Amino acid sequence: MVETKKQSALDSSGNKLPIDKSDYEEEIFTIITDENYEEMVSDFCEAIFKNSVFEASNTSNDVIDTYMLDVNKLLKQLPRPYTIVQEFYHIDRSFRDTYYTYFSNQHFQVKRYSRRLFFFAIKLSEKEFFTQDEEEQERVADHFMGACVINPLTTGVIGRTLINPRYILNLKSSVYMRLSQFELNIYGKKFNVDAFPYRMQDEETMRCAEVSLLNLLEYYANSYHDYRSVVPSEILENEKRHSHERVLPSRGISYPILTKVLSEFGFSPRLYNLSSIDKYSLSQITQEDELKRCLHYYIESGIPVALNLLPIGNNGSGHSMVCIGHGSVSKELVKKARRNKWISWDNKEHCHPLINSADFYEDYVVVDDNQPVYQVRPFQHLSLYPDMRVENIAVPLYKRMFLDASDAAAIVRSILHHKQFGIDVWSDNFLNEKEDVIIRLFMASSRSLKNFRLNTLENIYAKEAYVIVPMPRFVWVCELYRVENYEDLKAFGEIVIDATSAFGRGHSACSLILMHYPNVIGIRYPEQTTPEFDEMIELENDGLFEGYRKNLQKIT
Amino acid sequence: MAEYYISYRELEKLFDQYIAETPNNSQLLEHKAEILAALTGDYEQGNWDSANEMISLWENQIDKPSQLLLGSRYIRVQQIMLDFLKVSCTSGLIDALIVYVSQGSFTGFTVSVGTGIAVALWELFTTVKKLDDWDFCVYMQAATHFREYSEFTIDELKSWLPSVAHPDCNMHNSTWHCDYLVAGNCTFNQTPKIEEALKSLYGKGLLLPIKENLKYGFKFKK
Repeated sequence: MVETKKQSALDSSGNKLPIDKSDYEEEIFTIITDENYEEMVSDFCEAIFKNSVFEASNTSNDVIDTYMLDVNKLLKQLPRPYTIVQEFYHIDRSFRDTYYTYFSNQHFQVKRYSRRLFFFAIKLSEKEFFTQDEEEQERVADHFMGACVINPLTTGVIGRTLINPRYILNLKSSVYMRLSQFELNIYGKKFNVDAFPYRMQDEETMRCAEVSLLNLLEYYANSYHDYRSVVPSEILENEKRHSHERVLPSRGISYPILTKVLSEFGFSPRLYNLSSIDKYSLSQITQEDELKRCLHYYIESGIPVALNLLPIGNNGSGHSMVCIGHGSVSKELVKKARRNKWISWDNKEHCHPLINSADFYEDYVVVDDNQPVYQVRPFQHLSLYPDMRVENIAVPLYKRMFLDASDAAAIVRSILHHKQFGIDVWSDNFLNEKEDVIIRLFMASSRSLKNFRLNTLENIYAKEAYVIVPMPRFVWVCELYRVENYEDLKAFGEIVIDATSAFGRGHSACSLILMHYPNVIGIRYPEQTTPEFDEMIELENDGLFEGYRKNLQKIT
Repeated sequence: MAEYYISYRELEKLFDQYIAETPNNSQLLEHKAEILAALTGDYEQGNWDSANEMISLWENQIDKPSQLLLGSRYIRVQQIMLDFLKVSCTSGLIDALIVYVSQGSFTGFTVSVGTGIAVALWELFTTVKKLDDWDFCVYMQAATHFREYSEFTIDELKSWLPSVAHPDCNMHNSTWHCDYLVAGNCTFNQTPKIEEALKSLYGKGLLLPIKENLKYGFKFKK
């Protein structure tokens, strides 16, 4: 058996066994360089296919290339030189689960073991890898790029993949992404990687929607103690409870069921549907524009969401993916956004128009099982399939995030043009007459916001105000920028509103927790039921302050 | 150009103002409920019943203003579309469309004149709001001069665009950012864009080329 050959190759380091006609031999450490990568990657993929995926000795190279195309692409995408460290017998939690739920029941044999490939952005020898020298260990750990599981399946060969996007994205401009730090172990050593989970669908137990769910749930379980990690069979079990037909073999999930499954795992999800968004005859803002704004508020909040794409006209099957970040500002869209600025009807001759920064971004970072890991694509073409558009957004919200994005935007709009708490009242000495103001709306954990403001605000009394005011676990924040300061993210003011009250009660100023305008901060305590501030703190020399940047990581 | 959130009540007040500024406004007054129903409804799925219901709601609202039905509801509007609404009223474009529908020239279905007016106007506004900048500019210029020129030539259209002699542009205000308006001088009519826009408006069923005398006329959907 090829399996035995591979084992003997590993055991006796001096007696390497050739695989077919190639000189390539499977080893734990493989170094890929600019000189050898074409041949080496191809041989590497062929050996994996023949030894771990499909043990037919007469499979032609063309067929192997087709099956291993995605692995091949991934290996060629990584920056050279790099080292692959292989774990030949890896038990992948999610594959082993699907194996016993489904593949073990099949007549033809499917292997139990996965393989795992660890990638290091240096040339690494066995001696260097296993060194006891702390400095050398640190050097190796610093160059860890991530890992990828290879499942013994012809469809869905790439299993759980965790790769730091810094190594894989070839960017013209920066992107901003939500990642989580994962700990991985191999051969007695621990490595950490900032990544978002990626895997391919096997088309039997998991389709795109299940893969989206699994990736999302794995991210949340790894990032927050409120959620536990799940295996595919648990997703299928929950799906079965709400579905009207069998769930295996999988035929995908509709988004209403997907959000139901999310709620079974402890989330309070919101589902936004394109056609449910109001249309207005006298506004050029489309339902798609509004849905994109909604998506952007959540992405800017560092909340990865599941996207459901359907062919325009709803003919044909849909697709699902996860959105985890956004690209850089598009100058063309800034121009368009400036034309759609919000103006207060009651005070249209004097108010400061509001420009929504959510309209500035065209590109979003998606994790899509039909595309290589981490794709930066325009909102209109997130999928590789032509003529598909985002139809549903499922947002896995924490159970006490009662105020959703669209309601938060409505409250913010109303407060910023409020005759008592608005920009027009408190920023008139700072801004020019009718000067445009850019707003940036996002949700943040109060703990993190307080910490960020404590570290970045200059005025001691301003720091004190932020630290002292009681806040719920999550708050909606709307930062205010002059047009020329947005690029550097230097805000002149912000308002913080309560994310734990629903729209009805919290409409307008009753939601305000803190307002920070040039030279003044107003704070409200939880006992304050009327829209009045308990304390107004006057600030001297209150300069511009840093825009909050802790929700997303900047990748350049 | 800017976006406002206004209540239905405020929209009605604004429309009353446009009616007051329109000469010979009897048609607008008579069909006020239908026009407001066109501005506040969504009839994309050919939902005539929905148009009918919205007209009834507006008829009630006009007779007996109520906060419960429509008064406290909000609608999103853009300045540019309000400008177009005003121009459509004052130039007689809406009047012409009402006459067209009243003569039974709209749709193959048997619907009341009122419903036909609401849906035809909704279609007009929905098509216009989707126009690209330059298409919108040309259509707005043409609609502004509808009363005097229900048919017009390209040269007439060009003469309406702002120039050094008459720098006022009915598209331009302090919040409109136009690539072609530089120091009050519009360079749009020196580009092939104007003919492209006319062709595009023909393609979208808003204008009709009249070949005999090289003129363009307004087209209403059948």
